[in-house]
Amino acid sequence: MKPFSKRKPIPQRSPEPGSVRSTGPSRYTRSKSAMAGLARDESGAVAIITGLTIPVLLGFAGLAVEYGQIVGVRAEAQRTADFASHAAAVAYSRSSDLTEMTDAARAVARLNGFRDTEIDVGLDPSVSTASVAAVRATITTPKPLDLPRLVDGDTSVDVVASAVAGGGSGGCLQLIGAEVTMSGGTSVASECKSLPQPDGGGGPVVLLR
Amino acid sequence: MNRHVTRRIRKLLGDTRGSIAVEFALVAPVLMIMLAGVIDVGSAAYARLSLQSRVTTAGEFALMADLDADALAESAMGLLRGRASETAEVVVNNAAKAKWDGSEVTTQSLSGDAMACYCPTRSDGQIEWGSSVGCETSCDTSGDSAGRFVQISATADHVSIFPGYAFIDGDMVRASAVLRLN
Repeated sequence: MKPFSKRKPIPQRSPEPGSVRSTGPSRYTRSKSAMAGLARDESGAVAIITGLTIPVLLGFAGLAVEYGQIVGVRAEAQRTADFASHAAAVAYSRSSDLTEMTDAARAVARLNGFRDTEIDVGLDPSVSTASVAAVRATITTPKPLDLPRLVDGDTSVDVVASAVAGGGSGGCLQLIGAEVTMSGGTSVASECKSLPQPDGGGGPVVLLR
Repeated sequence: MNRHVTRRIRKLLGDTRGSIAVEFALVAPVLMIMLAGVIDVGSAAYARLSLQSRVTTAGEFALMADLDADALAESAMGLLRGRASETAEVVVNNAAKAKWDGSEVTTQSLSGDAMACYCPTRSDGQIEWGSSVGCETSCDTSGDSAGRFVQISATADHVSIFPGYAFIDGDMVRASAVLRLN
């Protein structure tokens, strides 16, 4: 087998007659012609395009992962905000005490894996309910991002979920051998159920509006 | 014969036609793997969100339903339970438990009292019920008021194309919630 000796030499343009560089190719012109040849060379173009494209595509895939994780965290935060605001509204309608309201919401948030500092509880006067004030619970939890960690350290986005609960339907009152006099626009309805009592007693139940 | 083959190979070596097809064949597997990864992550996110949504639905039902402990556990489990390979558990105030083990729902009564109040705490993702306390008292450790709670947890299978990928560990997604009854 013969070696590949039949390959044609690359034609080199001879310098124009009368040119100042007619004494022979200088280092500058040689590197210039090599650059020009490289610019015209189309072989390996797909490799370069792929090399440029894959980081971008990986970035898209990374964004999809981040988004999926954030949506998952948000679902958890929203559910916890729902439960916490409900617990807080029940605590407030029972006690009319802001500290008990906050404690109840925080306890629920803690049991669901959130920290005390991540939940904000307060009365929301913009939401009107039939009787007591509505309670708004807002959970703001930081979600560390994975993509920026590859570049320059920790970045996180705050995932926010908010819920409002109010004791709009009034409270039930169970009478056990007692008499109650109501006044001042209080009405009685029969929507409440009788709860079993530990001692077996249990009288009529009225709903206070 | 030998010279004939050599000449044909040499001719092929100089032929640049179809080079894009060859280069695409080299690049395509990389792109396919990335596509598989995106599909994997997408289906994992779907599995996780649908499980989260079931847990939320069961929890909101428990919040609103006016049932005794055993009936509440069983009814909430009706909303929560999933396919054969999945598991789910509802514990109502440490008194009643409903469990889905992948084939049937079992209910059992626990040691606690459905009408009593508790100060549950969370450690390492597990809920410790502790002992029951009076309903109008405040808890020793936290100072919160004691209450009646429902614990809901569920797992669902998700078979990853790439195991241990992204946010899935052990081909399984989990969701849990604790809520306070009235």
